[in-house]
Amino acid sequence: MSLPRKYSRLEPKHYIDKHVELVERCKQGDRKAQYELYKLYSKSMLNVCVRVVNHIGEAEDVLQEAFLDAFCNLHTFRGQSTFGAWLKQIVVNKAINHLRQRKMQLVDIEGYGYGDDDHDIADDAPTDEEGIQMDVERVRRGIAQLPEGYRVVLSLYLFEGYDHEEIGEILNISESTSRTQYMRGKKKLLELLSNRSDN
Amino acid sequence: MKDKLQRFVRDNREAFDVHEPSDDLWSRLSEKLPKAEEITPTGQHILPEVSSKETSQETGLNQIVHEDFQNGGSYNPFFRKVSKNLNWRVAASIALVVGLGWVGYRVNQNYGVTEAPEVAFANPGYAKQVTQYTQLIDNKRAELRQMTENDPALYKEFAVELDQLERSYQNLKADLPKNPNQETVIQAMIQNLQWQIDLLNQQLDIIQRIKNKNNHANDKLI
Repeated sequence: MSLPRKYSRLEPKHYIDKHVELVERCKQGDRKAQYELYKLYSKSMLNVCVRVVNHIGEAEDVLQEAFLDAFCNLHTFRGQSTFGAWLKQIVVNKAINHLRQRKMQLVDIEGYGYGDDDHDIADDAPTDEEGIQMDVERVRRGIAQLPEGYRVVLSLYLFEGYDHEEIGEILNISESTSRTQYMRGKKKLLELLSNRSDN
Repeated sequence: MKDKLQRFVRDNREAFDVHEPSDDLWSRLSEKLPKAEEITPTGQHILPEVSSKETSQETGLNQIVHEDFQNGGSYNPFFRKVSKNLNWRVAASIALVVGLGWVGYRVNQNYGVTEAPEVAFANPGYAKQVTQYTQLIDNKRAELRQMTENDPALYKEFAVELDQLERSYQNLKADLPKNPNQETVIQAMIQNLQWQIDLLNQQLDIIQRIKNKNNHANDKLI
């Protein structure tokens, strides 16, 4: 699976990686430096994992695997992007792979996935986005309730700042599929949000 | 154009990170990390100098203490006696490891197990072919990179074309385990590799022609 090449564009080029020295020490196998980096990034990366795999225990396993991978392959990090961006690529890829493995085991019993939603969104009246009250906890819960295909695309797009072309590359789907998935996912999410405000 | 949802997430990005890694995650992780000594290039700790015969009493002792440390602190006078033989044992182990590594390398070259494990698994007959082609491609790519050293723009252009093929190769490879008709997929993979080689040959040819032209131009100048 190829990584999005353009990813570094999200972090401006002139941005100087604060952790260059820390990374260098990690390359030497300095355990303290590794812990420092772990402390700096573990929380945000764990939350990336949780949003993708939707399970806290599995997310921790994925995170552990990703850090292990990152520390063992640190010599391949050449500093074209920041360490954080590099690490996030590893984390996202591990999380997606984890989903794939899980899917293979479950053989898609639920039958949801990419593009199972038949009705055309264009036929429906657009949900009134402006009228919906948003609150962090409800949006977070709503995303977690979405079918897997929607959830992953929405998370990568909204939270991790990938564009549809990059998401297509990561998930091995076309750019337009990513776009439709996002539109449908968003619609579903807004429905969930407005339903709950009625209760 | 950003919609309300996008703006909302962007403005509250931090607040969405509600999960904290559990406290023991680091200790579980650090257990699996390779020891610092194994990474550092100066790995004198785990590899006592094999050649130095005049190992003084003191460094010998250090070795024992270190060994002792790695053995979980069970200091044993036995190690003191063994420390002289240790050098030979280390040398012998290294020789053995190198030997086995070489044998493994040869076997692998012939059967292409690590180069194309999926293919070797599905059809050993094709695995060798895949290995040969991928090696050829690697060589040619290296050659290409070397020849375009002073023209990175050209290399980039070439690489884009190659990467397109490479990507479809990777897709095929990913499909292989799932696909019921494995032979067809493998044949498609091999076809793809052949295309890559053809493309590389053409690219090398182009570079060669450019070089010749430049040389001729220089000749004329002289």
